[in-house]
Parts: sequence; C-alpha cells; structure tokens
Amino acid sequence: MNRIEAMEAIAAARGEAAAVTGPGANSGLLYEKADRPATLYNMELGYSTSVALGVALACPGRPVLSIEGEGSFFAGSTVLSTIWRLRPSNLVVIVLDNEIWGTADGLEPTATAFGLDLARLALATGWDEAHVHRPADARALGAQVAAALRGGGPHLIVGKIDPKQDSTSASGSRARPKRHILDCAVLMRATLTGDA
Amino acid sequence: MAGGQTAVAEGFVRGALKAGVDACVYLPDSCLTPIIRVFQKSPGVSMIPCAREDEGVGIAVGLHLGGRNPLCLMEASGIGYSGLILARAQVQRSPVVIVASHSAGPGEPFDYHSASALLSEGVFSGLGIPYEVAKEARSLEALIFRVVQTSQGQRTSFGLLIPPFIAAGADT
Repeated sequence: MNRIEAMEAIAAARGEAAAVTGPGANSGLLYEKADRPATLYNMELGYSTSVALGVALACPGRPVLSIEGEGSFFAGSTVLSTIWRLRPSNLVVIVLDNEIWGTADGLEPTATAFGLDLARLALATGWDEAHVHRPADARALGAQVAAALRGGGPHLIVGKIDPKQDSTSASGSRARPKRHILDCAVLMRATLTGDA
Repeated sequence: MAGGQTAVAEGFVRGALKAGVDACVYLPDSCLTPIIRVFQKSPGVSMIPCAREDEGVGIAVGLHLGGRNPLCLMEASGIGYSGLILARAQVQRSPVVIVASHSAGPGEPFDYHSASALLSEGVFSGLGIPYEVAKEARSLEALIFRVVQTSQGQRTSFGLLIPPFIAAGADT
C-alpha cells in the first residue's frame, strides 16, 4: 500500500479517538483527512507512543491512537515493554513502515530496510500474537484499526508502505498541520478533560 | 529502610498528595526508592514504571493532557536523556515535575555520579525550566507542595533535585 491509502484507511476508522502522531508525513495527512480536537501533531521523534500511552492511562474510557513512522517508533521502542507491562486496553499503536527516513531527499534507509521487524520486536518484548497485527493492504489496515479501536488492547499494527509508491518521503513534498503545537495541546487537554 | 529515610519519604509524599499529585512515573534509584515505596502504598496514586526516563517524561506529558497530575522520579542521569521531550513539554505548556537525585552541590562522594550531577542543572538551565536543589530534609514536604503548585499554576515544568544526604535524612 502507499501512505496516502493507509492514512485514508486510518482516517475513515478513527472516529473520535484521541491521537498523537509522530514527525513528518503522517501528521500532515491525518490533519488533512481526519483532524479532531484531541490530536497532537508532529510529536518529537521517538515520543509519539509514550505520550499516547500517558493519554490512554489518563483516559481509560477513550480510544487513543499513536501513529508513527518506523524510524521514530524504533527510536522510542523501549515503550513496547512498558505498554505490555501496563496493558491499557484503549491504546492502539500504528506504525507505517516504508523503510526510509522521511526527511530531506527521502533516500536514507532506516533499520527496517536491513531486517529489523517491528512486529517481531514487540513479540520479543512480551507481546502476544493476538495483539500484534500485520495488515497486508489498506483495506485490511482500515478494518484492523476499526476493530482495535473497539477495545481489547493494547494493539500494535505494523503496516508496510511500499517505498516506491510513497510520494511523501521527501520533506518538501508533504502536507503540514495548520494548527500550532501549543494550540493542539491546549485543545487536546480541554477536550479530554471536558473543559472545551 | 532506615528511619530517617522513611520519615523524609513520608513527608515528601504528604506534600505531593496535598498538592494533588495522583500519578508517579518512575525508574528506581537508590536515593528516591524510599519515596517510590511510600507512593506505592498511597491509595489513589497510579504507579507507572517505565523503561527509560525520557519515555517516562513522554508518558507524563500524556497523563497531563488527559487531566492527571503526575510526578516523574528518576536518577539525574535520566534528565540528560529527557532534554528533547522536556523541551516539547515546555513549548506546548504541558508541565512535567521532575524529581531527581544528585546535584552539582555538596554531598556527592562518588565519581560515577559526576556526569549526572553535571548535566541535571545544565539541562534545566538550558531549557529555562525552573529548578530547586533541596537544602534540608525537614522542609521537603513544603518544597514539593510548592513545586507542584507552581508547575500547575504557571504551566511550566519544574525540577527538584534531592542530594543523597537529604533523601537519607542525614542533613542534621
């Protein structure tokens, strides 16, 4: 699948789930396709999922999404063991893996281009197969996200993006959120605490 | 735990609870573990162990966004890992209170704490994050209360560094 198809599938399934997105193309695409008040865009590299974990623990009645590229997710991947230790049922982590750092000319490969398998990494940190998902295409991804957002988590969904079809890899070619990160945080907290 | 340590830890937790702290994100540390043990016995406090300190700061940012009031407990070495996520927390006004052992001040006899002592105040200063170094055990209860109060009221992260002899209640 390509990233735009993947993000359209995620957007269609999102509902009112809170979301934290990592740096780069995923943030701009989510803003374009499924912006909601409870969204933090362009979280710093490596921290999207840890922040989403905190939101999920604070708001157990609300589904929470983390959406990251593989470079950012692997940088912060110690959080896999913490998630499994705490097991918030409302947390869904989506990793879109195109095997390329989404910056500059979009040509620098990430660790997954050399054999790193993030789904297997989750299993190695204790996760069981029932909570680790590898949808093969955008349709399966959308269905998996919709099912995961109904509960029974935590869930890790790793979707492979074809780097040859990924027009968003280079940093100059992507959409960007139009809400400042400070405004995002204020709006998200007000929404999640019922103070909007 | 020695009696002095326990009394210090109990006073600290009393002050934190009075300020509204309801979650404790932590990595164990020789100086702060007595505080962690008292938090673990405190009803209504969510205990959240993490695998790295910067991961813990990220979790604390999320907890705050969801309406909770966490503390982060760590050895000062973890402040070094946490520079980027602390900067983000400042930019988006999601305050995180960091309580860490070791400072550049007196009472640090071990060479292997040198790097931790060097970096903690440097990170706070560099990011414009206010911080205090605890000077006496008997005032820790009031100090943590005021630190949390200021963090919440001013929407700023805040650092509190506790030297080992203060955590041990050995300052008098």
